[in-house]
Amino acid sequence: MQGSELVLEQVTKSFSGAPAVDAVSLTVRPHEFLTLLGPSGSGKTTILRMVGGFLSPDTGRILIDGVDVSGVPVERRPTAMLFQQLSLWPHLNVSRNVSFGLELRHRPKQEIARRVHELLSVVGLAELGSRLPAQLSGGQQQRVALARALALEPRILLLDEPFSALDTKLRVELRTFVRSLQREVGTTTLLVTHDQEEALELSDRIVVMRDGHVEQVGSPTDIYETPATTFVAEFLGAMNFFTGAASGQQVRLAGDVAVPVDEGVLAAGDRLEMGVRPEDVVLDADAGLPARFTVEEVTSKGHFRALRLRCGALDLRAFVDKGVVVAPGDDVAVRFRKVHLFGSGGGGQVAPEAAAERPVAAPSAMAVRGASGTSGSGSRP
Amino acid sequence: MSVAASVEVPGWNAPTSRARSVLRVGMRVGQVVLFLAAVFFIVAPLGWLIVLAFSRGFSFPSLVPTSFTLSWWHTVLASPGLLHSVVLSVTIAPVVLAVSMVICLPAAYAIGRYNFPGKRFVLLSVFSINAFPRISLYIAMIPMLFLLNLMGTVIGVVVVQLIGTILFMTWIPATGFAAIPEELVEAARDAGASKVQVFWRVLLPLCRPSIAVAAVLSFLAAFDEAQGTFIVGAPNYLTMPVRMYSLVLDYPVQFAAVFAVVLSIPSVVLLILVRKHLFAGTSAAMHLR
Ligand SMILES: Nc1ncnc2c1ncn2[C@@H]1O[C@H](COP(=O)(O)OP(=O)(O)OP(=O)(O)O)[C@@H](O)[C@H]1O
Ligand SMILES: [Mg+2]
Repeated sequence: MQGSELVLEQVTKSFSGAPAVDAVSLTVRPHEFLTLLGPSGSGKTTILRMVGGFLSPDTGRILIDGVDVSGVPVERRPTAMLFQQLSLWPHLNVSRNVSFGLELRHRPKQEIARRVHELLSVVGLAELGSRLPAQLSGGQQQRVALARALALEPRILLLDEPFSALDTKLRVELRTFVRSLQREVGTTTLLVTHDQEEALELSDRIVVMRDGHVEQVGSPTDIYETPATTFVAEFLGAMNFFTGAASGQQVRLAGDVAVPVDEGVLAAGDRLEMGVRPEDVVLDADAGLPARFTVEEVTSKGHFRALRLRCGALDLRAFVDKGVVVAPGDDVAVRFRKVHLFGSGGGGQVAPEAAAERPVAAPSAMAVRGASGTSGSGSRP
Repeated sequence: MSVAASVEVPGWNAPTSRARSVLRVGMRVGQVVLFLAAVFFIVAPLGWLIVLAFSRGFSFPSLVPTSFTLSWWHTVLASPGLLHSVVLSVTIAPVVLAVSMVICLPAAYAIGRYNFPGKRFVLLSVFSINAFPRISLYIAMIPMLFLLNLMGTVIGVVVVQLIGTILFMTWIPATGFAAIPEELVEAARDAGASKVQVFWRVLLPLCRPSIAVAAVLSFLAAFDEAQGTFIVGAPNYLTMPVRMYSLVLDYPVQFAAVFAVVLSIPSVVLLILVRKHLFAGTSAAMHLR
C-alpha cells in the first residue's frame, strides 16, 4: 500500500494581489480519499496545483510524509495529476502515453511492456494500446490518462475534475471505478470537484471551499447532516432558509409562525437563520406547525415529488413521497423533521454559545414540536 | 448533428430538408470550383511548361505546338557551366536550410513558449524583412558584405539566401510551439520529465508539422533565390535560378521552360520526401485541442 500523508500549513497563494487560496491548513491522512468541493473560483485547482508542484505557495508549507516539498520540482514529487482537460500526448499511441514516465526512469523494456499491459487491463483498454489518442472516445482517453498517472506509482493522486468532460453515465461509471481502484491500491487521493453528488459518493472526507478558505471539513454525512454555515447547507443538497428570532423555546418566523426547538440552545432575542431541508418537511395533519400552508405547485421528480408551499411571506420547498396525494390549492399542515439554526448572516460563527466552527444548531438540530423523538437528539455536544 | 425537436431556439430555424439539399449541392459545387481552380492555376501552367520544353515552335492561331523536339534539352544540358550551377544549387540550399534551422528554431521556441521583454520588437523585425522589396535590402547589405570580405564568396551567398528563410523558419514554428496546450507540458513534467526532456519528447515532436512546412518553404526560398545570389555571388557562383534569368533574356522561351522544369525537380523530390511529415503532422495537429 502506497499512500502518503499530506499536510498543508497556512498555505496562501495570491494572483496579482487577490488571494486565491487564503491561509488554508489541511491534513490528508494516508490512504484517504479527500475531496475539495466548492464553487467555481474558490481555489480548489490552485491548491491541487500547489501540491503537484505546478505552483508554489506565497507563504505556508506543504508537507508530504512530514517532509517540506517546497524545493522539490514537479518531476520529482511523488504525486501524479489527472487533468481536467484531456491531456494525452497526441503524437504517442496509448501504450507510449502510459509508458512515458517509465521510459524516463529507464526501466527495463520487458518490465515496461508488462506494466503497460497490466495498467491498460486495469482500465479495460488492453486491446487499444496501439491507437492514437485521437482515435479514442473522451471516456477512453480519460481512462488512459488514469493509467498513465497510475504508472508513476504515485503516493498522492491528484484529480482535477477528471470526469467533468464526460456524459453522466460515463462519469458515474468512471468515478465508481476510480473509487474502487483507490480502495484497492490505497493511494492517498485528492479530488477536486464542484459536483456535490460526486463528492458525497466518493469521499472519506469533504473539504468545502469558499473564496479561498476552508468553510468546513468532515465526512459526507457530517457535512450533509450538520452543515457549519448556510453556505455549506446550500451548496450540498437543497435547503429552505427563514430568518427568525429566538424567543423562549421557539424560533419565531415571519407571519408569526413559531417553530419550537430544544431548550438550552437559544438566547432570547437572537436573530438567526433557520434552515430546513426539503426532505425534512413532512405533511402531517396531526402534529403540524400552528400555521397552515397552501400548495402552490407540484412537480413530479420521478421517485419523489417536489412541492412549493406558501404561508403568507414564507415560501417552502418540500420533497415528499410520490404516493402523497396533493394538488395545487390544497391546504396542508407541515412538520419539520429536523431544522438547522445558523447565526444571522449565515456565518455560523455568530452562533450563540457555539465554537467558531460549529453551526448554531446542535448537530442533529432541533426536533420540532411534538416530534422531539423523531430526530433522535437535540442535545448539544 | 442531432436537433432536438422540442427545443425552440429563437431566431434560428432548423434547416428544412430543402434547405439542406441546397446546402449539399452548394458544397458539391464548391468542391468542383476548387478542383477546377487547382487545375487551372497549378496543374495547367506546369503542364504547359513541360509541353513548351519539348516544342519546336507553334504558329499563332494554334494553341498547341505544331512539332516537338528534344533540342532545347540538348542545348541546356550541354551548355557550359550548367553542371556547376546544379551542384551549387543543390548544395547551397540545404546548407542555408540547416543554418536557418539552427538560428531560427531556438528563437521560434522562445517566441512561442515564453514572454520576454522586446518580444514584439523581435516579431516586428522578423516580419519587416519580408515587408519591403528584397532588392533594397540586398543593396543595403553590399557595403557590409564588402567589409566582411564576403562579396563573391559562397558564405556571402549563404548569408544572402538566409534572409529569405528567416520569416518562415521563425514565424511558422513559433505558432506551432505556441499552439501546444500547456497541460501536455505539465503532464510530461508530472510524469518525471525535466524541461529539456519535455522539449525533445513533447514540444519538438508536436511541432514537427510546422517545422516541416517551414523547412519546405525555406528550402524553396533559398533554392529559388536569384537577385541577391546574383549580386553577391556573380560571376563565380551562378546558381540555377541566376543562370535561368540570364537565359530568359537571350534565348527563346522554350529554353527557359526547360530550365524551369529542371529547377522544379528538387522541389518535387523534396515534397515527396516530406509529405509524410506534413500530413501525419496536420492530422495530429488538428486533434491537439
Ligand atoms: N494563473 C492564474 N492567474 C491569475 N489568476 C488565477 C490563476 N489561476 C487561478 N486564478 C484565480 O484564482 C482563483 C481560484 O482559481 P481556481 O482555479 O483555483 O478555482 P477553482 O476552485 O478550481 O474553480 P473551478 O471550479 O472553476 O475550476 C480564481 O479567482 C481565479 O481567477
Ligand atoms: Mg478548477
